[in-house]
Amino acid sequence: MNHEPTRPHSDGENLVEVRNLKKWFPVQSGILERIMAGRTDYVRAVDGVSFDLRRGEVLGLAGESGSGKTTIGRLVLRLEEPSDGKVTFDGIDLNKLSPEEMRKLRRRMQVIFQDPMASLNPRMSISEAIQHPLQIHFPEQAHNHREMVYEILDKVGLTPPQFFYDKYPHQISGGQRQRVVIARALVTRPDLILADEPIAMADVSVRALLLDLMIQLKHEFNLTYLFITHDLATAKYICDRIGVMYLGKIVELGELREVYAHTLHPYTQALLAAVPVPDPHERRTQLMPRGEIPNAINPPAGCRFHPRCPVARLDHCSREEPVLRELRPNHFVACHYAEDFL
Amino acid sequence: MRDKVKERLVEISDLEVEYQTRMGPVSAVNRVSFDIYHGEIIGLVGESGCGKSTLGKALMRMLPQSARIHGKLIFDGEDVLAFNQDQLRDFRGRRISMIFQDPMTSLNPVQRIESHLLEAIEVHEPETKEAAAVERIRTLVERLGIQKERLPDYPHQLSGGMRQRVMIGLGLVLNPSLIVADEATTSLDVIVEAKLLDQLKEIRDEFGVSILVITHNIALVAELADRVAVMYAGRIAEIGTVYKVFDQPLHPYTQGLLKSVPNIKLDERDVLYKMPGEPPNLTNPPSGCRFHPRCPKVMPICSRIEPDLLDVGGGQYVNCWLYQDHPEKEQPTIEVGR
Repeated sequence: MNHEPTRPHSDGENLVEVRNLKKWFPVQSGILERIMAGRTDYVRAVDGVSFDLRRGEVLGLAGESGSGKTTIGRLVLRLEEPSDGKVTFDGIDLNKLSPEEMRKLRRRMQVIFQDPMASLNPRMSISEAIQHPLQIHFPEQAHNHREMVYEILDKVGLTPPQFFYDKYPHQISGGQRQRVVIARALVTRPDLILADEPIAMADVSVRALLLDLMIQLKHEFNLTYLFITHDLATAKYICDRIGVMYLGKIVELGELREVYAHTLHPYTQALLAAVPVPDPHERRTQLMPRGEIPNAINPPAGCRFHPRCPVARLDHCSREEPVLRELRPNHFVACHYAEDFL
Repeated sequence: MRDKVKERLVEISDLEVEYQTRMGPVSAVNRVSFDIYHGEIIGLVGESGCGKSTLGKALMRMLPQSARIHGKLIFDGEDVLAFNQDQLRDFRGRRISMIFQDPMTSLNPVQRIESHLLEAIEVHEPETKEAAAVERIRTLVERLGIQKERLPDYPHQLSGGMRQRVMIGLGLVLNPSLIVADEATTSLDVIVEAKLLDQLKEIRDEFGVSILVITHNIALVAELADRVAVMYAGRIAEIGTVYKVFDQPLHPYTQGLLKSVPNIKLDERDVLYKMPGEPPNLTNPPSGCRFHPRCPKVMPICSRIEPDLLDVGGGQYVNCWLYQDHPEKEQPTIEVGR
């Protein structure tokens, strides 16, 4: 069922193009403080990021807390206004859209957040929650809404749909709640799904089912996912490509299996080594980088990872910022000395 | 410390914890038995609501009023369930301590790091002079990788990893024999978590303390623990050394769990096992073996009679009818209502 037969499509390979995107959040400080300092400090949550999201792929954005991955997701959906840079969705420059045009475009870009209990209104039944986007985007099809909800409940595995239709979020399990959130995102037949840690809250034994559902729905509905996660092990099972972020920058980007097998950035190497493996014979022996991820208000000069990097050369890495360059086919890295790892 | 490894520190036997709720009694911990040895790291894994945190709190007798606790809980030869309030206060902190998940809610935001640690010593060891206590704190935090210059700081001035190290410090400052770490690394980023795991191992090696790691992350247990206990719906499904349990899991739940855990190695486990169903609600647990509705190897007996934890040798115990006999196992009698 296609709700909108005449949907403008550009033929480009990329559904989303992100160019030099920046988001600086001003640090809230007292007015006196600001006058005394004579300047405003900014948290550079996203600081010059470019990538493409190809139609039909799952692109993972991984990194530790504070790396800017969630902010990028919000910028791509224009839930935040960028400080600089450009996001293009299906050939449309989001910066140039009026609020009304943006509202219409939102039908094609939906989001799944981490905590289904926080994403669902406890006073709305499941059918009301799923119908809500239909009322906004397809008010003229009100007579069909019930049927559309039934259909999407069935697609996400909440069967029989009649059983779930009038239930409230507290009456169903956590895994079922996340399925409701997925159903609500898909009911408007979007092209892009931003999934921000979609399975992090689910129990281990339920995660595999949710991942499988997301992959199956991707094929069925021709979706493109931007998959934001801190869990590199889970990313292996769903992402086609992965971008690794550190302090507002992408440090490495490429096909997931290529990046995991031929890791070129020392930070990605540390991140991958830190993930515990469910096998006591494979305990980690590598040392972890010193210190913790620094403050994004005043990031280190040069390469932002240099104070923690095992291969950094002070004279070079602390002065010159490395750019993302293609070192292997379709495998990009931002490190002056990545050749050492070839 | 090594020669004490097989000496028993804690004996838990037939432990039951029941909460009274509006929906009726909930048996969160159901006939749980296992030992904790001196100087070992033992992982207690399970999904949310399986009773692992309740079990951890029961060891310290920190359960709410509505909870009823039965069975046997022997700590270093003493019956913990018979302790009065004074004995309990002395027991907690000095002999057993706990590291919680979220340091930001466990530390007092208006109290300096140093006074958190001093307070613990003052309350539990009133005989210790302040100067000696301060000295001990300085040595301890430096050992944990916090400069002593940071001691006058408030919790918000420290990074997440440092705050978690303060929590470890609080757990260690009274030299307990057992530390219970309940999801102590869960809110941390992987690199910070990895460092903390290294630190827990070092602490065990250096102080000979036993550590009970309660977690939902079974990969973390493989990385850290000597033994693992797998809990499902209030019961121990399987227990054994990490090598036994990870190499040759016997309980179908452990088998399924291990097959559904993502493995970051590219050449291992390309497809995750999709376990049917979800963990049960304990107000109304399934009859017989509580795992039977999700079990791929379910037999008629499983829904009717509960199995017991059985010693299968090599220090491995499993709670499953596949490995034990019962008159009804071969010839299921189905009673039809008269």
